[in-house]
Amino acid sequence: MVLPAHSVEEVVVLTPARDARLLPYAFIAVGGLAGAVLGGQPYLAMVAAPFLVALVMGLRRLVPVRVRTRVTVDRDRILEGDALQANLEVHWEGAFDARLKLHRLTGVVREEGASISAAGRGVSSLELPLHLHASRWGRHHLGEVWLRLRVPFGLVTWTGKVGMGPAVRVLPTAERLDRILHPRDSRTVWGQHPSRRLADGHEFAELHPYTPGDRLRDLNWAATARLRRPVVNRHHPELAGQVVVALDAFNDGSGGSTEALSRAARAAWAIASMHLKANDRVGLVGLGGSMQWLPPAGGRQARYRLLDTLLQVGGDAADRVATTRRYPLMPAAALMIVLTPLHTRDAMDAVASWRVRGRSVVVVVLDAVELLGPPASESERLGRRLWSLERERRVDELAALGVPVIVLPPEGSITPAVAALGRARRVHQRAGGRR
Amino acid sequence: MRDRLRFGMAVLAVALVAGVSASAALLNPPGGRTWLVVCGIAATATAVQALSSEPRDLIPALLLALIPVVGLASQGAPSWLGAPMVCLLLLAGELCALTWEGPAGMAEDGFLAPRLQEVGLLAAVGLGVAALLAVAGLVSAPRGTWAVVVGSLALMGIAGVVFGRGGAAAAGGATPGEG
Repeated sequence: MVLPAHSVEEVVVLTPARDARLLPYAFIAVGGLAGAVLGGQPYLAMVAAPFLVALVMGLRRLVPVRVRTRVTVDRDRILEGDALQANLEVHWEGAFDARLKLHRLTGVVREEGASISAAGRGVSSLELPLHLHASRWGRHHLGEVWLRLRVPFGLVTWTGKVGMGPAVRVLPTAERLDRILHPRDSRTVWGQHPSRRLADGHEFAELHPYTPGDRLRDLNWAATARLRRPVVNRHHPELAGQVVVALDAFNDGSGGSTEALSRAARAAWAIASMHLKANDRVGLVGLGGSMQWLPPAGGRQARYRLLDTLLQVGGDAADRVATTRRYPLMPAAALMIVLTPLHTRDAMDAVASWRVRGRSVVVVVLDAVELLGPPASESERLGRRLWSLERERRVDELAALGVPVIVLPPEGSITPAVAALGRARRVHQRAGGRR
Repeated sequence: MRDRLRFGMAVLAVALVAGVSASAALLNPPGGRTWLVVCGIAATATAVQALSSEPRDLIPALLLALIPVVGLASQGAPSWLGAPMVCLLLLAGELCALTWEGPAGMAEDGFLAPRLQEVGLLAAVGLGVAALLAVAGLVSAPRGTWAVVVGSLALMGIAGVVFGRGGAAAAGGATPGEG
């Protein structure tokens, strides 16, 4: 049989399981009959009779049931917030009263008013169309398919997990970015970043006395009139650069840290997308888990690889055992943009290791304190104050390393943060030369 | 709405246990009535416990409620009184099961009405069989060797069904989200 492209099929055998009535009914029926026979008391048989009837009617069918489940999704790659159509089909042998439910939805939620359960009486199959939308980026299984079968008057049920949904890749959405950080050194392909070299371009670099060979259109008439000799404008050429986005995926497994990672990933994808549009070569490194490293590259292929790596980072974040603390050597010309909530010191160690090797690093600290909810007690409030002090200390520590740091507020857009980061970086450059 | 229905069924189940055990205790002769009332109160308490918390065990509630009924029958009360009481206890057990299934179980959507019909039919058939046995017992109860043979065969049949096939079935799992 040929299955649709994004389909998963499983066959499971469900065995009957007694429900809570079976034992008490059996106890009373057996006890009553035994008492009636041994004690010669007919009224005990009368007491046992209704429960005996329930037993006889409830245990007519006790064979295992073979269940075939198929889950089909219309596509296996979607963007965060996109709708996803899926279909759930379950077939079994014989007629049962059945109830089907999709449980533990991860990364997707059902549409308003849509159902994730179905039921039928005396049926041998159930079908459930699912209308979902992606809520969180990452690689997710759609959920668990649970089935419960029973027969009329039955004292046993056939209950169990009969399948898993197929894996769906939810890609993060890009936030709007109208500023792009300027990478440290430009490459020789044309892009949107002004180079340090002088050549044709739009960004003004300096005034220079006219020399034979200069283009007349570059004459600066105001300066020429003022200095009484011909002066020309010189420009920086717009060239592409290299950017590496580092994503702090050190995760303690809590809901808060997962959401913080999602937030960081959204910002990472936004930054990467905009740099790719600007013809930059973009790389990605996931800190934490088994550490994902994608060297800088440009073009459409790089975009897909970035997405894949980003999803891999999200998937690996759950694996807190395989955390590696050896960081790859970054290209010398690349600008490193580190996105971190600073929950652990590991990200700081990575920044320090790159900084001592002379790499240009900027850090965006994602404030995720609000994910914890309002403090429930005085000690919790105190704990949060201590944490905010510790974070300030860590920010100062990074600043002491010569790393521009911007704290992104909880609901803040990445755009002003990037602009602020650019300003901070220029201040650092003026104060301490090239960073 | 579903929660209210579930709560209503639970209340009805407890009321049946309490009502049957109380009325059976009060109909008994005054001599042992106190102990039977205590049994009735204990039956009601264990029914409430079984409905409100784990483990879902109906054995204590049903056995304790049956004691006054058996006591009543042993005092020579008419079978038309004992048989309905036993059937009401069976009804209470079935209502407990419906309550346990909860909003995510079978007791919702299109299932509730048929399930209630099933429960009613089961109670009616049980009542009929109990009444038949009571009448047959009054007319000519099997005695001596004949009674032992008939009873043993019946017991073996039940044990075979319950512990041979039903006993192989593991304790019932619940679908996720069941109350």
